Amino acid sequence: MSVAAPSAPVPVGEGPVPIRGGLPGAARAAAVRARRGLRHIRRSPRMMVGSIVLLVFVLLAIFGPMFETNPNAFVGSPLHAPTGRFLLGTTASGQDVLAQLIDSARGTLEVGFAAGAIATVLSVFIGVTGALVGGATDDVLNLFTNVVLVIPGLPLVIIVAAYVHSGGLMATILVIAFISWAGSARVLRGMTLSLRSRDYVLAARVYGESTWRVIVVEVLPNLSAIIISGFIFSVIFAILTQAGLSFLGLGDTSSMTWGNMLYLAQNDEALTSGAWWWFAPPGLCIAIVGTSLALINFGLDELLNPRLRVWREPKAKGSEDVL
Amino acid sequence: MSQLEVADMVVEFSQRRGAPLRAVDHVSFVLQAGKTLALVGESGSGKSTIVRALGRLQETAGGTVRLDNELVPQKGRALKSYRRRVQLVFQDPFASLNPAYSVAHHLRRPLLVHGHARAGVDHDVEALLASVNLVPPGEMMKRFPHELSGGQRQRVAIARALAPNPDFLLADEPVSMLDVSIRLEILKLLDDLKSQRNLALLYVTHDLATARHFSSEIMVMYRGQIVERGTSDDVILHPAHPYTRLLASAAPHPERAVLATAGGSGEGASATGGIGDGAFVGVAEAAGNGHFSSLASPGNGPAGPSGLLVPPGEETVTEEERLRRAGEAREAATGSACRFIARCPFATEQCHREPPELEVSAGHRARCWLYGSANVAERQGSGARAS
Amino acid sequence: MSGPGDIVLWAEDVRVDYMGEAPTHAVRGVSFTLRRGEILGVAGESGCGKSTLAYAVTHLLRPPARLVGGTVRYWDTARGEFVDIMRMAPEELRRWRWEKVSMVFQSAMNALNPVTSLRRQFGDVLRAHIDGIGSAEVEARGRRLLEMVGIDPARIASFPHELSGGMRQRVGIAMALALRPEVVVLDEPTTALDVVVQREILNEVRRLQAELGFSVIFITHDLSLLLEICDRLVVMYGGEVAELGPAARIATGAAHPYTQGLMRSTPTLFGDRRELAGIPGSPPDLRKPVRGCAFAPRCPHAFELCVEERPVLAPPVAAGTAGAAVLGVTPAGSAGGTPAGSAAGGSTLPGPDGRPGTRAEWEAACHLRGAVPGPAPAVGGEGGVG
Repeated sequence: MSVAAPSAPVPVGEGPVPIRGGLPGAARAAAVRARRGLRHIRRSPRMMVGSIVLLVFVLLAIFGPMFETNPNAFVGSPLHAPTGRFLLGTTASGQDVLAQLIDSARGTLEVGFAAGAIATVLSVFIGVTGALVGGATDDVLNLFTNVVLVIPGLPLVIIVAAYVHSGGLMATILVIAFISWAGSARVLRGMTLSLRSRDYVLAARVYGESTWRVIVVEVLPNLSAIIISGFIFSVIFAILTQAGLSFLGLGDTSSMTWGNMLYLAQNDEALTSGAWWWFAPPGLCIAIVGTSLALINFGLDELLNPRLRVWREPKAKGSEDVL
Repeated sequence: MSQLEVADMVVEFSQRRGAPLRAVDHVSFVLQAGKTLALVGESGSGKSTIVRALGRLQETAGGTVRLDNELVPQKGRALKSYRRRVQLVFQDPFASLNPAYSVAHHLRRPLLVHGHARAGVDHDVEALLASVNLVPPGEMMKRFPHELSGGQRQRVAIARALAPNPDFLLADEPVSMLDVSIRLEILKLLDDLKSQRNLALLYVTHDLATARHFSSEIMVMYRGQIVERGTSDDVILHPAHPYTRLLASAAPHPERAVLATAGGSGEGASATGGIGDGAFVGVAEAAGNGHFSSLASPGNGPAGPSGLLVPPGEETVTEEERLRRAGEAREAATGSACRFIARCPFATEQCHREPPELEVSAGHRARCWLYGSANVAERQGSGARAS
Repeated sequence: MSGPGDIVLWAEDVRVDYMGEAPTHAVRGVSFTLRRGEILGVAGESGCGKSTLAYAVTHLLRPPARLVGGTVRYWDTARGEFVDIMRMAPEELRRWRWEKVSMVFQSAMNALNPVTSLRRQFGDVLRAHIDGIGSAEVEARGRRLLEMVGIDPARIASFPHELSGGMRQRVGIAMALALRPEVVVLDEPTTALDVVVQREILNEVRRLQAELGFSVIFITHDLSLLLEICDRLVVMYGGEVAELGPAARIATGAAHPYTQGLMRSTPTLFGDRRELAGIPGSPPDLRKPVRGCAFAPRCPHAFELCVEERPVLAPPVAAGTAGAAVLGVTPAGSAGGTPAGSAAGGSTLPGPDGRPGTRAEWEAACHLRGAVPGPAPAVGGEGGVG
């Protein structure tokens, strides 16, 4: 059955692919997938750039603080512009901005990834279970999801954050996670509903596979792309929300994050005094990390959906196909 | 001798508004070891629903399924032995394999589920692959679905169905998504497996030609009911129900083209290679009786006047013509009337009562009043249309 | 008036690649001519390039597909000459498409806009091509078009989802005929439909074609259907033409082993039960260069030459020669085959004034035909057409 649209690569050559010998069974499968993954990453420039930038920040967050002095120590003259000693200058209290920036990378990414992970686990659990179990369970979970979805997120976060002001970073993480799982849960539910009636899932039921095995073995691996993409979005959302909360002074001021840096800079009137080295770097860092995550997501989309893949004409001889 | 007996199966789908939609309406048949039963119908006739209900993927609203005279439950643990003995082959070879796993996974799991020891399972996987002619099995089992062609995938799907060593194989349009040149290979494989393993095969299809060639008996389904059943030659060569006749007349007949160009000469017909005179009698019987030439207007060649519904130049179409042409109209079931009444050129007053299955000849039955005892005598003359 | 031999569309050595890391050579040098008022069938399996070819000759290819060679010429009645469609100016091309050549796609649901009524969609088509057409005229024309394809004109207010699959396909045909084009390309128009509806659509196409006299390129994988409805047939395999000729002739004695295989693969409904055989193997991977005959790996008659040398299109040999004996070809006569055709090498020979030259009516690209040493003998009018 030919369904080839003109824009789609016709599955002409979907013939047998030569087998590379070697590892047995599952190990080989994993190796093949890993190799295929790497090749994909190299094929998508967006994915490539996003991954490299993110990797730099993650390494910075993990290893950076080891080489830095105490970021809260008063080491220099207040509000000093960047110099050889303080590459990004100092704060109003004479702290090293670069040291703070690196230390904050850890806090920010912690909040982002932790909240993202919790939100993802929640969304997978609620979305997938509901769709697969069906019936009243599904109705209840779906209603719950929809209710959380329509609650305006930011005001809720502000209220809850103000209430648990002293809860530390963990409270921020939990609040952000709670308001951000519902969207992906809905997407996952829809996708699971469609996967549930796929022939291979039905076939597994026909030969007598147990329900939980069907979920874990047959369905979940095929949701991985959506789960990963949902996770990345949650991370972006968490980082931005945390920065926003901190900037409003509702964050946990005791831990270092880029949002807190902005809050302190704003408090000490860095903007009006023109101390750009204090507020610009954290702002830029938030933007860059957010962009890198978004690039990874676009790259993922591109790899999973060949139609989005940008085809670049290699020095065309003549533009025969101009429409 | 194992047999699967379906009696009065009813499947209903609840609708948002109104009464539930009855997709399968009191269907009964028996699958017997070593025989192929074809279930023919158009999309929406309920034929796939029957397969799903038999695969216990869809709950039935009525009727019984008996496996060797034992009642089969709807669900639960008691289904396990039934699941081993009754397996499905799905229509779409691209959807029936999990893209995340290799071929080996698809065959290992059913073996393990049905109590195969983990040790030596790969040996049996290879044996299964060899039995569906996927060679070399050692290499094939390592491949992923996207590395296989459509035909190869369908072979894997068949091997998976064979893994529990079933007695009954239900094949739901197993070749309709495959290329023409691949189809026969797969059908022949199913046919060979049926003989080798003494399987009972239910072949669900919309293709009358392959149904005739690969099955001993045919059931024709229309809107949830079996409207005709009999040996495959009886049903195809001497179709009784008006719907079967319509189907037969609508199927492609390449021989017609030959006939048209050869000027209808006997020589031209014999040059078609293997199409005997009987074939044309068949076409004529099914199509050329004057009723169906207007209903489905089977081509009598572009020049044939009856092939044209409207004379050239006359662009307006009468209401009556339009009604006759609306073959795809799926009007709601009209109570107790015959389901085919709106499209039937032979419909009479009698057809407002639902006809039972009536005997046409020995072993050949049709759900049509034309074969009621009162009508058999006057059937020749009663071509009158009801409208 | 139309071109020599009544030709409306003349494709010559068309080559299309799907660009990518490994370019797929989807169409590899296809030539054919379409005559006025004929139904030309294009048959082949998925991935043989038949749909790509259709998009190429209607100038609808979009990246990553690219025309990498060959020409498609259209007979411009007004100018009385062939026009290269690849050299048309954008505005000229826009008008040419749909006014001269239109298309019906496999899935009418995808071709019709789901969010607007049929009335608006007819309006869009008509207004784009007929300057200053009024609403009343659009309405009248839309209704007439629906009526023409057997749909209640009142349905003009309907949205596509309110129609059944067959009706949507009829609307697709009505849209294609809206501007009375000379050529209509039908790309698998009935594949998704039931047999009975398919039959109705086919009859509709034939009736309209007889009434309005347009030419049809009918693309489908269903050879038996094509044999029944087409005047001439192009059988494609692996991006090339395997066989080309009058449908009736191919039906009685296909010359190419692939066509023969396809014929053996389709059981006839009423015929005797005979031993049916498919074609073992699978189609070639067109990402890799194909040496020799693309069908050779699956061909029961293949010999060394088939693997090494690409066969050219030439008239099938007459009975009594070695090749025909192997093939069991029944030469039911060939209309006007000329030796010139056998030398064409897979492309239409231009005549003295840049027009398509004379070619054999029936040709196959197979080495078996040339099993006899020397040039293929001319086959001319021994049987004659009845």
